[in-house]
Amino acid sequence: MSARAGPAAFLEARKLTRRFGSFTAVEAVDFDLPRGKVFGFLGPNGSGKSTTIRMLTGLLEPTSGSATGFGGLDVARDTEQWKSRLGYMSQKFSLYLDLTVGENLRFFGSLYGLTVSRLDERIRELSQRLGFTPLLPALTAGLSTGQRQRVALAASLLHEPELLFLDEPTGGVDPKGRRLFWDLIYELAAERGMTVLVTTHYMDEAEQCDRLAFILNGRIIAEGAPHDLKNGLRGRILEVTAPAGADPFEELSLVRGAPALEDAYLFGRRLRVVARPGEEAQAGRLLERLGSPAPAEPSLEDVFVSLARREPAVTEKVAV
Amino acid sequence: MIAARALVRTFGATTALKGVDVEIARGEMFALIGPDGAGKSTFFRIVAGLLAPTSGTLERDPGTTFGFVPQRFALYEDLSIDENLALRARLYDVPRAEAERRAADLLSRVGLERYGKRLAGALSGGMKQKLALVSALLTRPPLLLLDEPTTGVDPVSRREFWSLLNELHHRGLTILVSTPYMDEAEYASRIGFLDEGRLTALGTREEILSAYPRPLFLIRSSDRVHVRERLARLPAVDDVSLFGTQLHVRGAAGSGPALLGAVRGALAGLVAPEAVEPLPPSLEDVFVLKSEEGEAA
Repeated sequence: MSARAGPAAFLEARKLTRRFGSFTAVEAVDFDLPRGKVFGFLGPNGSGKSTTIRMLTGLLEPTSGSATGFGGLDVARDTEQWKSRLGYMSQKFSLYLDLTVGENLRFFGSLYGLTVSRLDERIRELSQRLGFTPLLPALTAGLSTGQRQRVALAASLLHEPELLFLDEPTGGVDPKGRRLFWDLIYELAAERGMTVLVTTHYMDEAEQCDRLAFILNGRIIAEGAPHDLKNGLRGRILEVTAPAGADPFEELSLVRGAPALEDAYLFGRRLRVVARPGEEAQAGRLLERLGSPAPAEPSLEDVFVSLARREPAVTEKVAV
Repeated sequence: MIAARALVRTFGATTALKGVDVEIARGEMFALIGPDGAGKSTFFRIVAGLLAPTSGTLERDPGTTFGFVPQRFALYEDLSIDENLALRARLYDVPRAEAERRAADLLSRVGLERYGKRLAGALSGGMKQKLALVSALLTRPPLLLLDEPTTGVDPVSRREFWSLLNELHHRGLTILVSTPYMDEAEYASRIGFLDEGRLTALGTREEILSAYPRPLFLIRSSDRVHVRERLARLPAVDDVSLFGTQLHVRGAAGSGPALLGAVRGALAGLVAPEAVEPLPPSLEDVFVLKSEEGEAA
């Protein structure tokens, strides 16, 4: 694992492990959440992301290892205090569908012990900021996915938590709603120093995180700033567009499996290859018959796929 | 191969499709992109003949059969992979020997050849997805319909799934696929944006991006609060969003690339001119603008 966040860490997870019977869901995971930063978890379903979050929220006891944070609290020892100072938004948004939006927010706010006047003020602020004030009297069941998401975010922010956990918060949400959502998260992180841990399937969201951890089979296989995570692939990805008349699939099958290449795939008519380290020139020559290959900036998906393929017995092999 | 004309579908008081016009030609890989509730599944169900339109028409070329991979896994969880495929082959009158040959070929292509005896209910999400695809292809249809096949799928499986679709497309299959992920438009030959029941953009990725009418700028600054305050005074700026450590700024209707000078000027003393630069639009920028224009109309 790469550089630690150092003394500014708001939360430190050390050797955090969770077993369910003989299955190890999370294995000796180490990471720091830097204060006021957005930290992303990226990994397949079942890789241990949600289990890690549940341990860090105090909802699930670790089998071993520790999590400390909030300037001296320990999740196992100070569980109640720990829980009261964080916000958590789960994949399912956990709102009561038969209550109105306002009733949901008042219910969640009362769990955090906010006074009635403070709660009303927070509901007003957050519903304005997230653009759902007209929906406060509406029944939650009638809301779109994007609207529910913003209400759930508001519910998790009512008590002004110092630490916010977002477990796949934006699945299926409309782009406009997703922007409103992220705009507030970035603002709270930058202006109020709120620390955020988010899991996501959207590569463009992962791209905007301050730091990222890639998780596979319960272990962190890489961690760092998005730009740094790409360093290992930068310069190794080449792309050329198959000219009219050329058959892109034929061309793909000609280069696939070449010793100089780690991977090759098509985006429509664009052929993209990942050269093995040191084999960039050879990879370029393989593509020359189609035109002049240009280096392409690696995406986080490229990085993830490249790292994951090095892990044994992880992917269900697809022979194309 | 498929022609939808003024397609409307209502469910009680809700209108899921509000007049969709689109033609999908033989040999296309067409991606329908939109969020939850946009009407994607309703469109697929009408194309698959599972649902009738309230008004408008949906035509498929005569004799066009299709394979359909719905969003929810629709095979029998208490049957094995082999049994599921045998059952489908029987329902569609594929001779047994031929069905077994095809199943073996398809299963090996998606890496499921060793799991024939496993119950479908015991497969991982990614494996179920592949089985549903194999099942849809068993009857050798010329048209494949896939409703959100990659939602919630991990990056490795997602890329493998698209590689497979790419190959099938290459072999002449016409593919209609839906997705909530804008970045998957890269794989399609043509895309349509579906937003609240309306098709708001239609074309190749390049066509859609090049038709974006507004200037966009990227600003690198740690002082986002003051940047926003200053930009709020510029009438030619109509949106400022935070993206991690950057701000994205959109020009109002009628503004052009010359807005760059005005933005730099407004931020003088706060942000260095070179920290403000033009930004090419993303498909999401197009989608957001179309959706705002739709609300305003």
